[in-house]
Amino acid sequence: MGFRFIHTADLHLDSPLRSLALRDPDLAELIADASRLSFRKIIDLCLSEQVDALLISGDLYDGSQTSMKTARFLAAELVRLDRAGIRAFIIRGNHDAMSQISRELTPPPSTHVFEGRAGVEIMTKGAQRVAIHGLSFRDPHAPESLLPKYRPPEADAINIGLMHTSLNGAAGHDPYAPCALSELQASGFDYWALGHIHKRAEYSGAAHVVMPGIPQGRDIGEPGAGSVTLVQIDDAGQITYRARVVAVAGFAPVTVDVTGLEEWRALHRAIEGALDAARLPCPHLVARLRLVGDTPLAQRLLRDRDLAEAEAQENAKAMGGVWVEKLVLDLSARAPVAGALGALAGLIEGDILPSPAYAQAVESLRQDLESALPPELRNAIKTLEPAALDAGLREVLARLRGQG
Amino acid sequence: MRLERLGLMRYGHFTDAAVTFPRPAGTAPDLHVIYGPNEAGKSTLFSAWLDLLFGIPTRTAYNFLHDNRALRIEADISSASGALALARLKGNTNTLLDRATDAPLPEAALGAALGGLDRDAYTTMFSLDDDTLESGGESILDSKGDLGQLLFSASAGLADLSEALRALHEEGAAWFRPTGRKFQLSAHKTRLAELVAERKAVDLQVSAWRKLSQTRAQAEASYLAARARRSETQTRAEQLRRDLDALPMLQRLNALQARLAELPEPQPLPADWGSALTDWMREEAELAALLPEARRAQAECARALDTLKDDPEALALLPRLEGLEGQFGAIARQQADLPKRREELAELQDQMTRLVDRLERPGLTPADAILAPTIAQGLADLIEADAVLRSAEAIAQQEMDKAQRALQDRPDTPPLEGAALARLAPLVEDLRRADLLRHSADAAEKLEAAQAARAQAFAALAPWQGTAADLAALDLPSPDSLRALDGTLTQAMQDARAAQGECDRLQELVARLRADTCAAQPVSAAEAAAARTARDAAWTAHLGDLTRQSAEAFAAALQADDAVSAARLEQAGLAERLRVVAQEHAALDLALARNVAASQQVAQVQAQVSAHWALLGVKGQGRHIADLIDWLARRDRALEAQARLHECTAAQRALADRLGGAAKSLGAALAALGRPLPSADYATSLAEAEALLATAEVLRQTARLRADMDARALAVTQAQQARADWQKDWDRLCAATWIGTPAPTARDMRARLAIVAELDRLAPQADTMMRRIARIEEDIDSFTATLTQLAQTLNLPPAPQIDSLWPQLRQRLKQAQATQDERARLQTERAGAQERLDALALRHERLHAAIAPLQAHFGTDSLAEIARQIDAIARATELSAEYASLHHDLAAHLRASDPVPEIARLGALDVDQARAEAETLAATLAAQDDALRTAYADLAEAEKALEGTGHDGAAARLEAERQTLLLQIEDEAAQFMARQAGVIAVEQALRLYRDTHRSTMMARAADAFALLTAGRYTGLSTQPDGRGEILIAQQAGGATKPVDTLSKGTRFQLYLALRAAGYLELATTRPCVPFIADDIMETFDDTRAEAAFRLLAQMAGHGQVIYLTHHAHLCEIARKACPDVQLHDLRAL
Repeated sequence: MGFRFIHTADLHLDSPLRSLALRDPDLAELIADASRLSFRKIIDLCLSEQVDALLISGDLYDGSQTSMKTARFLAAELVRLDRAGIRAFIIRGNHDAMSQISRELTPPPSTHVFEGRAGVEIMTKGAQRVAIHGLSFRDPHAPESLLPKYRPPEADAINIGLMHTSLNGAAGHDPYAPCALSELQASGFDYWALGHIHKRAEYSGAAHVVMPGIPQGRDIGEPGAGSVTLVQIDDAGQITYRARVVAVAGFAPVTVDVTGLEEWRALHRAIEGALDAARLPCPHLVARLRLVGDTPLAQRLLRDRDLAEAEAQENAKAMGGVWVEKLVLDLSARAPVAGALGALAGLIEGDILPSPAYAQAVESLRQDLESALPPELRNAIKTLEPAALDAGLREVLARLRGQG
Repeated sequence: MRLERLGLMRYGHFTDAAVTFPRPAGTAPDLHVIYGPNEAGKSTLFSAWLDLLFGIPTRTAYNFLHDNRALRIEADISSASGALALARLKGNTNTLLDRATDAPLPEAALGAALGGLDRDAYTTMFSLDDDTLESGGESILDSKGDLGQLLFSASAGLADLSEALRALHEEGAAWFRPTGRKFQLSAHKTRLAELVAERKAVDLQVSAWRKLSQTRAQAEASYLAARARRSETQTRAEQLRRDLDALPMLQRLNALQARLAELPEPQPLPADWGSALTDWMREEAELAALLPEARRAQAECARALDTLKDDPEALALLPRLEGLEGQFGAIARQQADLPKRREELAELQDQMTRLVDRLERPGLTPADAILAPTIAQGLADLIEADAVLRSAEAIAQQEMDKAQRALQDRPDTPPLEGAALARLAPLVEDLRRADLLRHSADAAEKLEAAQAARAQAFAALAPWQGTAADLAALDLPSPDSLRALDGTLTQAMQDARAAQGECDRLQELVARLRADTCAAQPVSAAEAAAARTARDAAWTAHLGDLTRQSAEAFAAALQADDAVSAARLEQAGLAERLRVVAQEHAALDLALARNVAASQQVAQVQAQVSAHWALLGVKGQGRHIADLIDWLARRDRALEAQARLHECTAAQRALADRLGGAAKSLGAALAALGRPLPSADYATSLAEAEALLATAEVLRQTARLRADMDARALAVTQAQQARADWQKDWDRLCAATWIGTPAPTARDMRARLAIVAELDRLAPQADTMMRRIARIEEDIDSFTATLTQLAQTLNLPPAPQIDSLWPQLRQRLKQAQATQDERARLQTERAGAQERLDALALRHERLHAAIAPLQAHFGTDSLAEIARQIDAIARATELSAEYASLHHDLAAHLRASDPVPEIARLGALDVDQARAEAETLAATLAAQDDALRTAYADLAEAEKALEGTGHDGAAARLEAERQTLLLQIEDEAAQFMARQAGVIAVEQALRLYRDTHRSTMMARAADAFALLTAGRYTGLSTQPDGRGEILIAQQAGGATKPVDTLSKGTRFQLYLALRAAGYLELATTRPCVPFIADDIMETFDDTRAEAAFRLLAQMAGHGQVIYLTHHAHLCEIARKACPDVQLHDLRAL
């Protein structure tokens, strides 16, 4: 049978999903607590696969998380493992170090939370000895490598290390416990169970180094169907592993080329086709639709973008398990405007947009709106994207033309 | 439309008054000024004109002199569609009349001339007084009504943009507006706050959790402390209770010790002594009783054996007698049955004798009477066959008689020839089904009708005459093309009439225009120049002299120059009129040409029609196309009748052919049967054939009956032969038996056979019975002999009957047997008694051996004494064991490893003091129990509170909803900004666009305004104001003024300018209507009034303009501004 365990990280329990698609109450009902659902699926997977241990490589919660309900949920799920005789090993990540609630967690006896000092736990399965090393973040920041602090590998045992690290640094993340891949490979360990970076990565070599990624992505910036790693160590000490999807919903950008489409219905068919092709191996797909290309429908799309979006959302919903959070127009062709409106457009382009009066009027409106926005969003319209303004103008012109 | 004359027949204070508005000469402006001082009736006139056009209102101010029903206004009006002479009454319906006939006219008659304007539109645009000028002007500036729209619609295409922009504005404002509270964004913010509050309500913060945890820890500590205290108290209480509980045990221990001292020392004895002693004592007593009894029984048996006597002879016969025992029963029963059997045999023999007597043949024995089985069966079969044969013969005879009767009266003629008949029958059948005669009659009838119809249809074609072929050959156009031709003709005639009318009108017009132009005097440029030079010279001279004379000379020169200038102006007008004449002349030529063309077409069509009539041999002049179409329809009907007649004739002929053919076929068939017919008439042939077929049928039946008769006669002969054969067999069988000849009849034979059969059944029964009786008699004799011999052997007295002999034998035997049995029993009993005696002696011996050691141990022979001593030793052993057990229990109860000091301590215990302490401790314990329960409850509650906090995801869901809402707001804010920036850009561009594009009406209004203000205001422009636009006046110096800041006079001039511009604007697109104004220049100074009249004159160039005033000097100003003005004085009415 050998020794089997599941490796995950970056649960960020109760960290809310960020998607406009959740405005649909049906979807909200299904996936609003996706982080919990996916964690529960991880525990279910542990039970159904009858693994020996669950390894969580940090970031159980968001740093700002202050709800004990979250901690108690985690504890309740760990109790399920305890009842099944499955051990759990946890290190704290940078978020957990910030979090108040991680100190309040009272895990069941079979769960081991590594301290800020390097520790090692030995498990024996048949003739196989497995040494599990871990080191928790003591502070929210760890500017230096933690690798030197780990205990040396145990002789006559498979050595597994839990580490929360940004490795060499990844885009969008500050360096946390930076560490070179080569150093990990040379450490004498057999498997490095990493956490911190939300994108799945696997590195083979002297040691298997695996970053499982976030099991449940929270927005379009964390796309795809999140997974955990199911690891098998056979009696000869040979390690094999594979990813197992646990996400409830996956985000994905979906680009639809609408070049040459002339009918509204054909447009929707193209969208449905693209959405269907983009389905993920998890129950729900939340897509950000981007329409590109050159189509005679461009003018109508500009004018009725809201309608097109609502229709796309409805159609997607009818497909089952597919949801559209937003419809973005990125159409290449600029519809020529004829007649008086054309003249007006010319005036806008040539005289109005460069004029200080226009800039003044827009800025005045922006300031009014800024002061009216909720505090969390004060910075949201600090700067106005020229592309967005251009799109707005095109939409207004399209609608005027539609009316005239 | 132009007002030629307005008649105030009965209206206001007017009676039979009228104002005539003559057309101006040539191209002079159609401007009329009506002067009347106050109360002269200007306003009445103004009102009368509107009432004429649109009806007199229900409440009118002009019925003070004339009654409502008498009010009447008249007018002559000319318009593009012709002249109208109208009258208007007051009322609800039919108030518009033809002036000449007083016949009601539809309102539409005026409506067309007004170009669809209603009263409101007309008063707003084309009929002004002070009030409507001002209010109408304001509404134009507010961009209301047609004129307002005209004014502000900068150019086509962007007209609706304001509306669309406003929609966008409102859409944006629904989401957010800087001033205001109710919009989507604020609703979002409210929801955000709600979500935060909801979440706070359901969430569990770390601090709250910690507080709960601490409470629980404290509760647990107090619970543990309380439990420890209670446990201590309980230990002490238990110690005391144990001591008190042990006291009775201690007492019992002391009592046991005292009793042990009284008993012998316990000693070990052989185990069986105690238990066996009782048995030994019982056996000793038992043996003492049994031994004498056994000896007495033995002696008794010996004495009984000596008295018994035996019978050996009888015992020797015993086996034989036992064999005869069973035989005796059977023999006795048979002997009893014998008389009954003998009676049965006699009865059987008697029956047989009676049967033979019935055969009436003396000397015949029953055995002889019985027939052999084959003969009896043969006779029985023949009796059966006799009935069948008799019945068959009778039936055959009857059938033959019936056939003979059927044949009587049948002729004896041979049947007809078969093959020919077979051909004739189906032929007749077919012809009957075809029913040719009725069809033939129908066809004749139809033919007659068709002939009549054809004759009628041809007669209707008169005056045309001819054959059907002629008729069909006639080459005439189709009714449709004739109808089209008719249409063409009508159209051409209409065209010709219209063209003629147009020619007449134009000819008159051209003639008048020519006359006008001829009257004018031309003035050359040289003359004009000379007059101007003379005037300038006179002026120079006058400047030099400055005398009255020079002044008069200059005045004369000036006058001459003015006259020349006037003539020149007149000439310019003339040139315009000449151009008109040329245009009208060209139109006249065109009309003439159309007239000619139309007339030619009429002639052409009529010629075609005549040609068609000629074909029919009719002189076509004056005959109508409709008649021709009608004739063509009649022709079609005639041709149809002809075709029908043709059809009927053909049908009738075909039927005649069929009848002939049928008659011929019938004739041939009859001839083949040898019945040729003289005539081939169909009806006769058919009747003959049918009669022949009937005869053939009768002949066929007769032949069938005769064949039947022959068959029946043969059957009778065969039946008679069968009867004769039967009689022969019968005689033969009878002769072979005792019956002999002559043979009896079948019925007699049946009776005899029955008796013989009965005899045959009884004879064997009688035989069997005789044999059985003989066997029984033999058995009885043999048994009696045996018994007699046995009796002799035993010396018994002889007896003849077995009934008495048999009991004696049995008695003797039984006696001998009983004696023998008794002897054997006594011998057995004696042996048993001896055996018991031996056994008892042995037991006695064994008992003595067993009890010898006990007697030695205890020193006595008495088993009772030995038993008492053993009992005392056992009791001592028992008490000693009880003592040891109690001691052990006490030690265990006191929980002491070394019980001795504990027992000593217990012995020294003060019981009362211990009881008192135990009571105190019980009270303490109860109190501590309560405290412990309270502490436990607190702990449970704290734990429940902690556990009850749960770990559901409601808070997380609310947070998710809040994040989603924030995202939504962010998204919507970005969209809002983008859209609103777009709206701002469009609005600014629109303003710029409007500044650069000005509407034509704005241009006209600006020109008119400049004219009215004599150049003080040079132009008008618009400026956005809020969502609409306002009008700005530009002064000559470049300054601008919003119109609401202008002086009242200037503002009125602006209003007038706007109306003038609107009038001119509309004149380009619809027919002109009279423009009428009532003293609107109150606030104008003379200069501007003159300018206003110039403006009115300009308008009058396009249509009729009527101005009402009570200022006499305005007439002068008007004349000065427009020399062609026509003045009317109301006072003249």
